[in-house]
Amino acid sequence: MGVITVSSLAKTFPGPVEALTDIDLQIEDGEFVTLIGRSGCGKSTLLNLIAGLLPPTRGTITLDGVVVSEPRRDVAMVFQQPALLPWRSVEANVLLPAEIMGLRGAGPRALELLEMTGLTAFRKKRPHELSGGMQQRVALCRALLPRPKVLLMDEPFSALDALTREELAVELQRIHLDLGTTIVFVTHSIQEAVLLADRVVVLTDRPGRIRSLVPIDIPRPRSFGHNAHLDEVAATAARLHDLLH
Amino acid sequence: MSRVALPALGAALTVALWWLLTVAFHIDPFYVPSPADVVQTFWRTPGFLLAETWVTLQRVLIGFALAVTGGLVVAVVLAASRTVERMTMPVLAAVNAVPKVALAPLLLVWMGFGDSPKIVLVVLVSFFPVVVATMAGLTSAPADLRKLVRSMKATWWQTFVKVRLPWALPQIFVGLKVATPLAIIGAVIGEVVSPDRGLGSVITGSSASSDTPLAFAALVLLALAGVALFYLVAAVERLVVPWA
Ligand SMILES: Nc1ncnc2c1ncn2[C@@H]1O[C@H](COP(=O)(O)OP(=O)(O)OP(=O)(O)O)[C@@H](O)[C@H]1O
Ligand SMILES: [Mg+2]
Repeated sequence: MGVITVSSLAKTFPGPVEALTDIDLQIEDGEFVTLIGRSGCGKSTLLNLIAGLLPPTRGTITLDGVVVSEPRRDVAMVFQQPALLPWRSVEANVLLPAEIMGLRGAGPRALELLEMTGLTAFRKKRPHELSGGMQQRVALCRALLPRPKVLLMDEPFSALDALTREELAVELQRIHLDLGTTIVFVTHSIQEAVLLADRVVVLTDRPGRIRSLVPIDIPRPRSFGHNAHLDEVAATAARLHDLLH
Repeated sequence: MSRVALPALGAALTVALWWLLTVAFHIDPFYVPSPADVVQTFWRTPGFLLAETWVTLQRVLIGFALAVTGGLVVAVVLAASRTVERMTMPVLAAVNAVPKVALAPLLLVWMGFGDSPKIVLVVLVSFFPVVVATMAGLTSAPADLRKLVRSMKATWWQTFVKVRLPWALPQIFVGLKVATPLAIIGAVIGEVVSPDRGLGSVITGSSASSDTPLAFAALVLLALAGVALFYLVAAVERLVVPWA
């Protein structure tokens, strides 16, 4: 299970900077939610709150009915930068959570994930020998290693070129379909939001509130390729664009 | 190949230039001896000069080892607690601002002759670069990475051993490379102020007897020791930090 319930959530930073207010949101088990909004509207803050890395100023977040008050080992994160350890091989990087959490026998699981993301041949390489897209795949494998219920991704593809980005977006859909992990995915790209999501959460400018929840019913797998549902994607993207401006 | 050839070429050119200048300007060996004079002086008493080099080197190595150990420990403690860091940083900065040369006569008063005042001086001059570099290194791990291990509920120790310390190593080595020549300078100052043995004492003695070539021979030996130590640290770095 991986049901996230956010109720009357607000976060104010010292300053005071009101980052988020009045957030009510229910994310279902296995749902893929993308979060869009303009820069500084509190997307990363919301993700950090769900991760238990920040305490809310008001309101609560629960995961499967349990209030989130600190980080949980069944919630994993991926950031814009891969944040790999440069002195470790790809495989050893993927195994980091196993070491920290004391998981035994994670070796085969790591190999399986590397196989799934096409990195088997690179598993003995150091991160700097890999392209940006491959490094981000490693970060994804590392996040998935402990079989998290929830995967929180903060603009994971933003630093990549357009082609790699789309490739990874397609791959992530496949992985989501395979594993059924609940995913909350922050992005600046409307296209990406539509391509990936079961539901798009649109935030207002700061202080971030929920402007709109847009369900996306376009059949999967989605891509920008020729069997894609380009018209639906374009129409939904246009709608989101209006909501943001 | 060029890793050995280029530095060797650089050294050879420097010696050639030195020689050329002494010849071209007819410089009196009493002021600046030529490389040949220096080598000749060295061969007059090679055993003596090498023994004095070893004395200085021992003081440098002992002091350096103490400074590195102490510096690493202090930096880790400071980086572990913001409170302790805020409290001690001004004191450390103040102590560091004191010219260590000015302490040399005091050390003589407190400790007399012998090894201890020299070793203490070595520790004093090479300790701070190690502390500063290590602290900078320990706080240099990217924010995302620290967030990541926090989200995995890593303990302080796990974070330290698996992320912060290895991440700090390249910068720690920068500190060590800054501290190496300082350590030699510290030992020599100690020996010049309270001469007993070592190359600093040789220099003091040679100027008393107006033996400039001997002073130069000591200086060249010091320079060689400095180069050797620097490359030793660099070699250890390549071994310990192969990813940087
Ligand atoms: N630790 C903090 N201390 C103080 N203010 C903060 C902190 N973190 C975020 N803020 C502020 O809260 C607001 C929301 O920040 P946040 O990083 O969540 O925005 P974002 O939507 O992720 O922006 P971007 O799209 O640029 O990544 C910003 O105004 C930011 O300056
Ligand atoms: Mg952000």
